[in-house]
Amino acid sequence: MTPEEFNTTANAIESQVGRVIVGQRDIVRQTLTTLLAGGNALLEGVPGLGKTMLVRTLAQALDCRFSRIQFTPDLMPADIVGTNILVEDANGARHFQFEPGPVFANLVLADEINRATPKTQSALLEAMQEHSVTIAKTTHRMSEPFFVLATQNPLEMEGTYPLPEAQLDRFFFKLNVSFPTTAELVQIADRTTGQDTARLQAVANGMTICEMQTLARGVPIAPHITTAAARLIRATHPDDAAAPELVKRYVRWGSSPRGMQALILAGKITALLDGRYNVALDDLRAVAAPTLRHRLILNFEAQAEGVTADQVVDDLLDKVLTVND
Amino acid sequence: MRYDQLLAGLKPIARRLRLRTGAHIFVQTAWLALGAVALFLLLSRIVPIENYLWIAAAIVGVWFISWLGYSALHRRTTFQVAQRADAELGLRDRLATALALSRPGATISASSDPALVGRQGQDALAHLQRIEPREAFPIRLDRRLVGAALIALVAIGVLLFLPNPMDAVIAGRREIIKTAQIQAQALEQLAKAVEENRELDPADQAQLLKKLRELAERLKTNPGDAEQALADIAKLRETLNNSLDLSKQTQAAALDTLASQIAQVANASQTPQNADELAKLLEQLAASPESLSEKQRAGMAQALAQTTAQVAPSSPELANALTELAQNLAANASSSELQIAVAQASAALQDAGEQQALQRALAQTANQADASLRAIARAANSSQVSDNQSQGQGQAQGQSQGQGQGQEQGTGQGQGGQGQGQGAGQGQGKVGGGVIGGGGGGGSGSVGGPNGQNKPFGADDVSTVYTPFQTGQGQQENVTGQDSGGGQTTTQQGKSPLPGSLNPAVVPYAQVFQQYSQIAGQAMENSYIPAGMKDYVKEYFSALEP
Repeated sequence: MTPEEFNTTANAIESQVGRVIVGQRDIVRQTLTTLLAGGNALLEGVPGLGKTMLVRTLAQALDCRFSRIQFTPDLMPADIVGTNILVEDANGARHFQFEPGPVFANLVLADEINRATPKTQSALLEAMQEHSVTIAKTTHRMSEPFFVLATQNPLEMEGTYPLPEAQLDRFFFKLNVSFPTTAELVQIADRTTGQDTARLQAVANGMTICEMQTLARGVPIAPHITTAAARLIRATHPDDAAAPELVKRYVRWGSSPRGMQALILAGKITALLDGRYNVALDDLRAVAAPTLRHRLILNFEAQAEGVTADQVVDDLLDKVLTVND
Repeated sequence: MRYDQLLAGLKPIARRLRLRTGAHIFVQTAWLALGAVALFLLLSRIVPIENYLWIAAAIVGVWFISWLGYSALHRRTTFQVAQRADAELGLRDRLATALALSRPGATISASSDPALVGRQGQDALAHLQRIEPREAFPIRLDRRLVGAALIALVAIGVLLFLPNPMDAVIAGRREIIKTAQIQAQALEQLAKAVEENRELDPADQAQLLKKLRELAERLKTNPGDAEQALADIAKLRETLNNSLDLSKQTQAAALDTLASQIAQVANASQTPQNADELAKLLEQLAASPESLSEKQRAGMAQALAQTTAQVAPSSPELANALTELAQNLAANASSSELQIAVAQASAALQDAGEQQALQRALAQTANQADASLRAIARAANSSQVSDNQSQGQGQAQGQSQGQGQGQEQGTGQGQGGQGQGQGAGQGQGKVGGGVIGGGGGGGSGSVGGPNGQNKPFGADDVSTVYTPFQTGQGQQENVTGQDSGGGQTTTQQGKSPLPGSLNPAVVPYAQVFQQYSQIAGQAMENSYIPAGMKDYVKEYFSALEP
């Protein structure tokens, strides 16, 4: 695949999604970035903002196998990854056969993931990180591409279980879905309350996505950009000398190295989507917030004062990610 | 290859960026430097600052050299140029990345696709070739800063064009420094002379030398402060006032008279010039008492008796020794008794000789101090200073001059009076004197005959001078002369401000001259003055006439 084909395909996917999803261009772009990076995304927003619709639409545009898991408090891990069941063949012999769960798909929508118990949430861990599931000492590989898109309601809502920090770190991006503007709401009403519904065309398949993922990883990055990313990640730790005051005051724990990997990979995809063959500092700036916001563990003081991770990331970008002249 | 192409393409951008940065820094700092110079020039009009034009030029020079040095030394690396171009032209790190990846020996990540690396380089070169440095990096100067610099420049021009009132003050200071240096040299020469004087007691000599050298040092290091210089000299002068003993001068005069009379009586070939020689003459006479006639013995006894009365207040030991010698001579004592008395008198005379030498040295020092006072006061007066400073200096001058003038008169009187006494041995000795006393440190002075050291002022010297006493306010008394001719001494006492106190007696020179000239004229009419000396006095006042 060439960079031009990459761009064309990406634009086509965005275009198809845009036929259904009104607005939310950044969310669509970042979701696509996560998919092309081979990562998983966590969408956070109040119910009814189109999170599920976004993933469903994406699956339609990609001609990929899609499954949706509605997380509830009584959902069990086996309900996600599958289980061995006793079956009887034509000869009357009985044996255990693995019945894959809904996680065995290319695009998995883990809807309202924070409504399930932590035990069930953890069932997704191996699948998300290793792209495989081990059941009864047998490891089952997922088919590529594998993309988990989890949605969650804000934590302050009742009946939710905060995601474990280890699991949060496994999400490539955390995307905050904002409420639509008035114009967007009007457009949503027009599109969804009429007789016509948009029919989407699959513009890419799993193979294409895998090729795009491979190409994206080959984008060159200059040492000074990598160093800048490393400096940024180090500065998220309050005990680092280069950490800005806001980090020292409000951050309990900074980003893991996985955050840097996500930052650079997302930067590469952003560059390609922008028609460039190199990662720029601006690319890092563009993806810093979704990459780092769920990886910064804020302290109680920050929560008490209403300081958000996005504010801390903005401060980091201003003070750390600068051009040395 | 690509690296070289990138370097070649970045060179003109580097030059342009350097020019632009230099221009920006120039404008950003020019208004500060020029503003500082303008403020400094303004300050130099309020406070006298030596070499202020050079300092102002130095400020500009330092700024310019700093700017030049910074512009020359602070060069961006090629990589920094690429980064700057990327940032300003929105190239999203294309150039910097291409440069970093194409640099010889650059380590490229294994995950990077070589094809993409190549395309990245081409993309960067294509963008680089489209850059026109002049258009891409225009030099836009901050108009406010340029305006501020121009305003400062105009202010500097105006300040340089208008005459600086502090120039006169600075010139005055320089004059004072120069004068102080000259006076310091004179004091050092005097110190050298005192050091070579063998007649002085070593302790007295050392003390006097110390004072002289201290004053010379202070004058040398004087920064042009006339008040300070005058105060330093006045301090020494006050010390000298306390050390100068008028009675010693009277004693010296009496001993000189005695020497003259003894030499005359003993028919000596040469008159003794000092106390030591007088002692030797007495020893010679005592060695052969039989050679002295009755008349000679009586004459010597009478001379000794007269001298005894004069030296008694200042040196009782000498008076006793001379009295005993006179009695021995009058009583026609034996040779051995006479020799014992002469030996005692001789020892007392040697002590008196040392004291006289000290007094002469002190007088010389006082004269030099007075001369320094006048010179510095003249220098201070000649400078054009502001009103406030003029007032301040005027007070200092009045005070210091008052001390100096009074003492100068006193010294002059001593010498002048001595001259008159000898010259009019059979006639009248006229001594015009003013006795000034008081708690603040009284000085004794008298209007004396003219001599070389006693001609301080010319008509063009100063407009105001210090008058040691107010004529017409004192008591006048006539004292019968000591000499056989029944000479008369006129002593005039006047009120005078004391050394160290504020001196209100600063009066116009012409007025002072008039008073002194009038007194001198009256004195010549009322007293016996040899005709030759009258002419001398008239010439003296003619020379001083304003």
